[in-house]
Amino acid sequence: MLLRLTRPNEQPTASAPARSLLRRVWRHKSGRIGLILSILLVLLAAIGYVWTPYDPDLPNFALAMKPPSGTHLLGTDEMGRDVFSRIFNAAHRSIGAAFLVLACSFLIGLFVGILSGLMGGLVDTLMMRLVDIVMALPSLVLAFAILGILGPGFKNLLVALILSDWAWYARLARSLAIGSGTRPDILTAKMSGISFSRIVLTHLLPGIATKLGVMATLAFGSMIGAISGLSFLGLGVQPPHAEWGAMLSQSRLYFDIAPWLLLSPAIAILLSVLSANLIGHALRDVTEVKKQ
Amino acid sequence: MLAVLVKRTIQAGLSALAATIIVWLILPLAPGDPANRIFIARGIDDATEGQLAALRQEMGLNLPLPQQFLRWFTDLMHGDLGLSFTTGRPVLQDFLGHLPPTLMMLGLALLLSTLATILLSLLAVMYHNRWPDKVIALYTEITAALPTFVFALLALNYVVVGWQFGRVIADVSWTAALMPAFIIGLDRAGGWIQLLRASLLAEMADSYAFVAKSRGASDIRILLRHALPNSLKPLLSAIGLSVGALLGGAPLIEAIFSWPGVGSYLLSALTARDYPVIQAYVLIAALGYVVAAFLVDVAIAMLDPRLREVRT
Repeated sequence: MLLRLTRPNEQPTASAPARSLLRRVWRHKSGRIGLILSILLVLLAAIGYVWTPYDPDLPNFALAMKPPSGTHLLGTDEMGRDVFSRIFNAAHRSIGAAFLVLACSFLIGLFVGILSGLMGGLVDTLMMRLVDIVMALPSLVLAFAILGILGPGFKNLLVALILSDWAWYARLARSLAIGSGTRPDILTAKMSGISFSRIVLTHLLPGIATKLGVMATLAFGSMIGAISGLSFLGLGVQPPHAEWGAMLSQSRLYFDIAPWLLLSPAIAILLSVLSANLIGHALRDVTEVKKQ
Repeated sequence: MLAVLVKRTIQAGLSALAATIIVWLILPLAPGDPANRIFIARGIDDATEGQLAALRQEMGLNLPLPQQFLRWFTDLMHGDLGLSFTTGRPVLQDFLGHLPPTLMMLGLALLLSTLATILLSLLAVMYHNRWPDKVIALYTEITAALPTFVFALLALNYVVVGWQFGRVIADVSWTAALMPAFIIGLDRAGGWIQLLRASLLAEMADSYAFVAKSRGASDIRILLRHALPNSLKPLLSAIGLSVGALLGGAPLIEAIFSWPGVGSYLLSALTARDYPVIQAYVLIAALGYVVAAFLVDVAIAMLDPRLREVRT
């Protein structure tokens, strides 16, 4: 209640806590569809991590290239592996990886941005020059450079994507932190003698974190695209493990005889990007954060 | 105008300098002994200590890092990016040989998607909330939900191979470039249409449009003469950012269309750990990105007189 009182005249969107933001997204038509779809996908990914109808990585050449049927819902691939199990099992890799990369970029960006925004001086200059260097390159090009240094592999892919992504969040967090110095609620808090650390933690952090979170949600679709795209090129998840992009890459060879191999991962990618986009639309409607 | 040009040129120069630092860092950061890596990439697994020492001496790998950077940077300014680890040929020459096919396809894709964006956005605004607008909105949603490479893969397999529409021979000619460029362009256009349509609608609802209408201007005239030029700014920024995304996506796009450009060249270098080639790709992509951002800034300043003054 005290917090409410120290925030006069504030636009509800400026630093709305994440909880009420979620409620407003839920009231939004496409936001609700997106939320339901993404909760379903996350549940499926969690189940696919521990259990699948068949072993996703075990070849059975006697059953190779079977079209979709009652026993194999999405058919089997060129090594006789159940495509449904593989899509199911791959979900935690694609969705989880996108989530992990965005969460790390978000946290690093939040920390670096607020720190350099509040401290100013040498720390700010050094941090922002680093941000400038990272942002001088298109994200994917930087990711290729880092993968070139580290070599292909799923972990390296994640590291490469985090290292090329965090700077965007840091820059936004910094500009929000600097702009907060003149915000009426922060000034009021300062005048009422609330300690600096308390102002940062309870007044500054939630608002900035919400805005960065919106930005991360809007970036989810392109992150799924980057992860599956780099795996498509063989730079990410290594065989025999299933990943949607890697499955697409395998399926190209058999498109004319086994179209289900191409369509299943494509639809899985479509659904996960779509659910994030729907939430993103709703978020853009209820806040004013723009896409990168 | 001149002041804007000077300021943007300095900014572009600084960005390019920042990019060269990252490009250089690839070599010292790569794991293992650099001299040994060069021998391994050349197919010599058991280089003697004498051979390694000779190579270190030759390439200046014994020098302190800042000196190595200066040496590398001086070479770069003379157009020398070193020799490819695998072929032993100058990287820059090989690279520039692979550049025209990529520029051809990406340039054509940018052109086609800009045209498609302007035409379809105008159509959507003219038929606002009627079926052409709704069909276009659906199309933009589909392209937004599919990553470029998935869209390209589906379009290639269904439209081109399935319906025997167009050709899949990558013989690097303008006609061969047309099909991949068309598919990439259509995908790019999706996001741009959303952007241009929204800003066109905002302009059409502005008071000056109302004044123009009350003075007897037709809707088409207001749209083309007033709203479109005023809406081009966000589109131009998006096009500039897209150049970066396209350069980063080039390896994927070229892998899908078997297109023999710099992207394919990079992929073979990544597997062979041919670092000078990776450096060349990152450098040229960064320069392309910087130049595109520069051109977009200048174009926006030319479109909008208010931005011709340097703001402090």
